[in-house]
Amino acid sequence: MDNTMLLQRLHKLQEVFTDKEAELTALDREIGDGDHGVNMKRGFNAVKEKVTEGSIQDILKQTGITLMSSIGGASGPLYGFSFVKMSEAAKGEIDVDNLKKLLDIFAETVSAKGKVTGGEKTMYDVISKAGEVLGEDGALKLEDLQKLADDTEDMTATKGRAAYFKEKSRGTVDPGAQSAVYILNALSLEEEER
Amino acid sequence: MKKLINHREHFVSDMLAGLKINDPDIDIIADTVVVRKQRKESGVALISGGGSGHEPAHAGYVAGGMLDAAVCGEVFTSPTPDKVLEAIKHVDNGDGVLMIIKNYSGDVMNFEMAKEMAEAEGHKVDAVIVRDDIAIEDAEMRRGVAGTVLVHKYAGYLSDEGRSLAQVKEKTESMMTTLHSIGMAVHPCMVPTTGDYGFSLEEEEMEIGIGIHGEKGIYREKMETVDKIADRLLEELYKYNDSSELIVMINGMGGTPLSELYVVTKYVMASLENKGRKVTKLLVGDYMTALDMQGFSITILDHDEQIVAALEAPVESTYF
Repeated sequence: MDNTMLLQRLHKLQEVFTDKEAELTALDREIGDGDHGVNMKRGFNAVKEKVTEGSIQDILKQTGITLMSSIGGASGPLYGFSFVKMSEAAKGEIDVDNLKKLLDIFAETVSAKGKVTGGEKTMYDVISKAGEVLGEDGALKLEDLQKLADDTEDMTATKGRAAYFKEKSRGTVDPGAQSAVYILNALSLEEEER
Repeated sequence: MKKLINHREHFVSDMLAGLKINDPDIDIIADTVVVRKQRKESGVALISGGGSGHEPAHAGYVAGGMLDAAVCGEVFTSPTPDKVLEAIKHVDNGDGVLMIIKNYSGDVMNFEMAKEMAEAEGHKVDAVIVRDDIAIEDAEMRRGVAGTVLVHKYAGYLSDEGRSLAQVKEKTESMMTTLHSIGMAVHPCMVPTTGDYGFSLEEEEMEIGIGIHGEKGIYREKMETVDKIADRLLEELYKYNDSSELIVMINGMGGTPLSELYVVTKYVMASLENKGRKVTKLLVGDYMTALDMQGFSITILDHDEQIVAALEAPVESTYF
């Protein structure tokens, strides 16, 4: 993936999060405070507006800084800081090996900043397993990522606002896990129209 | 749903513009950071903030005797680190900055990132995290709710006394060990960014253990009379407090008529008296709201002469 493709993918996320705003909001209304959809949309609106050129590293870093200063909540620093961290390890073109490395960094950053491990019903459950569903060709397929998010449905939240509901948080996919599906899918090295 | 909101995207900026027009003593920097027009020349500077929708918290408490800055996020959404950093840089007079953070993962993360950035620029910054909502069993995970306003006032008093950053932090943290709150709602709030109610309640139901963001409560129960509700909430609070002398705050959630809040006050005070608990200081009003939610919260803490003096000390805020 070169810088042009990465930029297109990140800009496309603005449309994706506009489409999915209601879906994310509905999930967040069940086990959070109902604003995840609107926050993610605001974040990627800002990315589309402010991140318009540069190398792979520049684009990832600017995306991170923009997300950090526009999403708010916990998702803002988690996604934002992760992109900044990924920018430090990104190569001039992202190949399968480099993408693997970026996914590791994404997971490590979320784990460290969010003080979260697997099975706590968070975005980490998707991000940390993305490496496992990464195809040999570098594909991060939507349906594979979706399965990881769907796995959070039966989990009991122990981190974030959903954790206030303890057992009652079961039965709903974690909104952060769901938004992570779309972000990771944007990093897929698959060439075809998505 | 009819609301006095022109554009939901401009809700926070319109609200802050109006707040500023009404209060000649404040300024707004970096779009969403409310500061005192007259900067404090010495003494620990106090910053709080969080999502909007809790008015008068926190911007209404930016005033002599209380906060130096309030960083306002979108409705119910933590502000971002760059804004918190702007606040720190603006208020720091060399005596250090104390951030009063409500315990939400977003708020804590964003404020702490700003703290790291500010420290890298040479500012002395520390933080206290308010966790007064006993609806959450795990003490570490408890949310910061109405009790936060008492922390603002106490810290403001300590700062005006000329105490050091370390002392203000230590004393507020010690105060917070007995600070506990619990809330209830008879009607949820409408979240303007989505146009939806935070949760739905049937006519015969009430929600106990609500947060201040339209999130559901912890228990959904059959609606009861006010005296029984007062008993119910106080029983929860007594689990964490056996003091015979208390400071009490009865806080409206934003959509509760003052008349009803006074009805609540009558029964809460009667219930306290029944249990032999003496109230040395009572505060009643809308201090920390959740938009138009109908309901109230009770905050109690152990009586302490210095804290009562702090709560009664003059303040330039219209809302305290």
